[in-house]
Amino acid sequence: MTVTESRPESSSEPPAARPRYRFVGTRPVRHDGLDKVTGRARFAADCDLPGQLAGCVVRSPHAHARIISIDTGEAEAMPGVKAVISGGDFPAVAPGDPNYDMGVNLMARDRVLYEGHAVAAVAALTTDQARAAAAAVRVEYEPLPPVLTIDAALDPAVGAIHAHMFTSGADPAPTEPSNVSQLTNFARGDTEAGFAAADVVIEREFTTQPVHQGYIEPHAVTADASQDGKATVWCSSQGHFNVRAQTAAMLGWETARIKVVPAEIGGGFGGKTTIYLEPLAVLLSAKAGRPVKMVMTRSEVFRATGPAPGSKFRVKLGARSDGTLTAGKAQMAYSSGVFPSYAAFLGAWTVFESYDIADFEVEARNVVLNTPRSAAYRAPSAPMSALATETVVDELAQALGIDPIEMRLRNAVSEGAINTLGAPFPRVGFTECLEAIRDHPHYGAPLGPNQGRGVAAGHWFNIGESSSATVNLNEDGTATVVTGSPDIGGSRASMALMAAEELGIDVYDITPVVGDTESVGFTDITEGSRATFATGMAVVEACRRVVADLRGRAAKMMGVDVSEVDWADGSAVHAGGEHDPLPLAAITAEAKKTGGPITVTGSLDAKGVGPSFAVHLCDVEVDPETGVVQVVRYTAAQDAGTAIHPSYVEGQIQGGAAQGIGWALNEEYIYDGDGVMENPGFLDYRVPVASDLPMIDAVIVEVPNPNHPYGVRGVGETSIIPPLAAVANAVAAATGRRIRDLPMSPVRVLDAIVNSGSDSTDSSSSNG
Amino acid sequence: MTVRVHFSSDLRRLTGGLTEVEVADPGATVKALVANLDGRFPGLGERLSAGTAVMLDGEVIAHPDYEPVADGSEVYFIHQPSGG
Repeated sequence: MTVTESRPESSSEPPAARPRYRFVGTRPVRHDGLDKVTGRARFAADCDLPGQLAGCVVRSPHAHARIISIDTGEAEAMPGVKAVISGGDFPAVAPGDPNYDMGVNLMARDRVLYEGHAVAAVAALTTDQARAAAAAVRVEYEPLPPVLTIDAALDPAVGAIHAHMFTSGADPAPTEPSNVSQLTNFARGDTEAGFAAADVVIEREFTTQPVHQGYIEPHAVTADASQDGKATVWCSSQGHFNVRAQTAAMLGWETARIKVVPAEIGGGFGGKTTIYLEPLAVLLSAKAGRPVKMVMTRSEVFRATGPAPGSKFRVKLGARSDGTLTAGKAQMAYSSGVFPSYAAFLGAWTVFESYDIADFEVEARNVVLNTPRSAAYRAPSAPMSALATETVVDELAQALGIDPIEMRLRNAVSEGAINTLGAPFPRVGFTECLEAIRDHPHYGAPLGPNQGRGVAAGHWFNIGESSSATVNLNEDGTATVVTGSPDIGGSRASMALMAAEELGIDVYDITPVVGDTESVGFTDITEGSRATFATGMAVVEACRRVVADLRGRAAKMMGVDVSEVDWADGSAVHAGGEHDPLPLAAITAEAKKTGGPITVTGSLDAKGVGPSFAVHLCDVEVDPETGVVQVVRYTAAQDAGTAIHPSYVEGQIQGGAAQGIGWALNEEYIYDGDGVMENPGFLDYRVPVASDLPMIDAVIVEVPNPNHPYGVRGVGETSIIPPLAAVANAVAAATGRRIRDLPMSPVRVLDAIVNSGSDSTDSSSSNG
Repeated sequence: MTVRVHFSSDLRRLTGGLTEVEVADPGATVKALVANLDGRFPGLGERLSAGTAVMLDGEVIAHPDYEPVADGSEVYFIHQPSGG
């Protein structure tokens, strides 16, 4: 379902008809689809080279310990072993170095900082030999007390994990190290006056646990270091130029010594925006003189990569009797694992971003723990902040007797509203998403016994960054479009559609290719929902320069001035009509006579991102005897700006909703008292599978971004923001109990039903 | 020409607690503005050169050095935005 709301830049102007596109907005089968469904597509672990070795990582059994010694002698003498490395084989890093956190995370130096931390790595002829040798590496540890919870990290009496870490943003500057890496504050207006003006004030506490991105494909790499001091790396990632840069930095190599070839990626969701294995594989390969392949087990993926932070929130909102939000206050803490991250800043930015609140205070802390270094996960930090805000908004609506969609409509930000950072919003489609859900048949559908309905919204700002694209026209009029963005969510098809629209040739006459680091210009990571937006802009720019070239060639063939030649429907057209149109293929056939090959690169740092909003509607059925929550109906509306390939926009919406539902109901990292993860596998860490979920009805709202040639906004992340609160609000509606500690596992839900203890730390009040 | 500059919390200890300042004659670009600010708040220039983005008149710019500033511009120095 698509709801199109096409308006020009200012919403005060009358609606304009949506541009009529020939290809954009259609649903061709993706160019890489056949290979994907027949198993021919080559993912990271599918790369095999002659003579390759198998690599294996030795990992810490302790969450925090000093390394007394590492003895690799026995391992090196074992059959088939060709190389062993440890921290001493990498360039030294010191606190304060830009590469310190990543360098120490890749391979422990003097301490292990979480269970699963890499201590050494071996390469051997077979996987079994490598594993046996890894087990024979003798590491002597002196265990240290781990810091495992946000509360412990915030306790000044608990020792700092990093003696060099002082809270950034604290005023006055701290003199003692702390487990709080960063403090972020945002404020506007007079919060106390805002609360005094409210008729109802509600304050609640929330907690969420770390969750993994849950990609099916484990991290894998094959590296081949050659005798000339260079290396080729095959891996899957969300940005192979980033893999090249980070690997080079970790090894102390020049960038040009490393070539990264992107494999197909079996899911990333933010978790593949960083590196774990690549420098190890290169170093092992250089030492052994043979290619080395490394593939993480699922347990390693859980224990040593990702996850998204856990969080602890206290959020207070006030509203007048007409539903107008008057003030907000948020105190937030995010756990980013063992190294600092930007999680708290993003949470502080997003917690009140959807609503036009005159007075607010936000204080967010980022804390470090002896758990794996957190990584980005779709709209980092925003799902947790939305859980808090959207739940309290729901409670306010309930207290005031206002429909929850109407409550949000009365406060939704729109063009010109001032955001948390103090700048005005551009044209956004939040209101349109709310209206799409309000007007959807689902919203008024009857509910059955033990069922409840919840609604929640989410916002993500999206980002631009740098992208490159090269368009090569072939002799027969077909084209190749090479970009540097890995195809994570159908971007090959989207790039081909935009190129087809520009060039006027069939989408299947275009071959979209993801180029390696030596075949296409620099391109930033696919993050921040930027690929279709930014790399799409590079494709459009390249195509428009191709068209300019084609017009010049056609003018030469017609014997007229280029100013007399237009481009329409894939042909050069003489404005005066004195010459027959020249189709693109006729021009490329003569390319050698008119100036040689036609190849153009577009590179840019994309600006003009369009923020995205989503509104989700969830029905659940709660078993009162077991506490099991079943999602029985789910509808998600999201502003895509313009859906280049609607099927893949729907896929992003559905995927984000599914992951958010898992976050709400089941997923969590569970540690024992020593900081050892107890559920590092998909049997015990339960992500939703197809049979757990209903068909998710994706409603594409189209409020075009005026700053993109086709109106694109990013769509990859926003969809994971509302589900936590949508499910929580639905469970509350079904049970009459508010559960604010995720996940809402059966045990927790049953406890809430039986004991109704969840409101003990909360407060609500009425003024007057 | 005057621009208004806003500081996030982690910059305020370098600005003596100021949350925003008006800068007259800030120069033509963000880079010139940063140099101007460093003269007023020693150390701020080095801090802002280390991967800080700006929101300039409502647009988040990850690499802002050569972005032009205009009379009345609103500039926020923020963490590099990122995503998943």
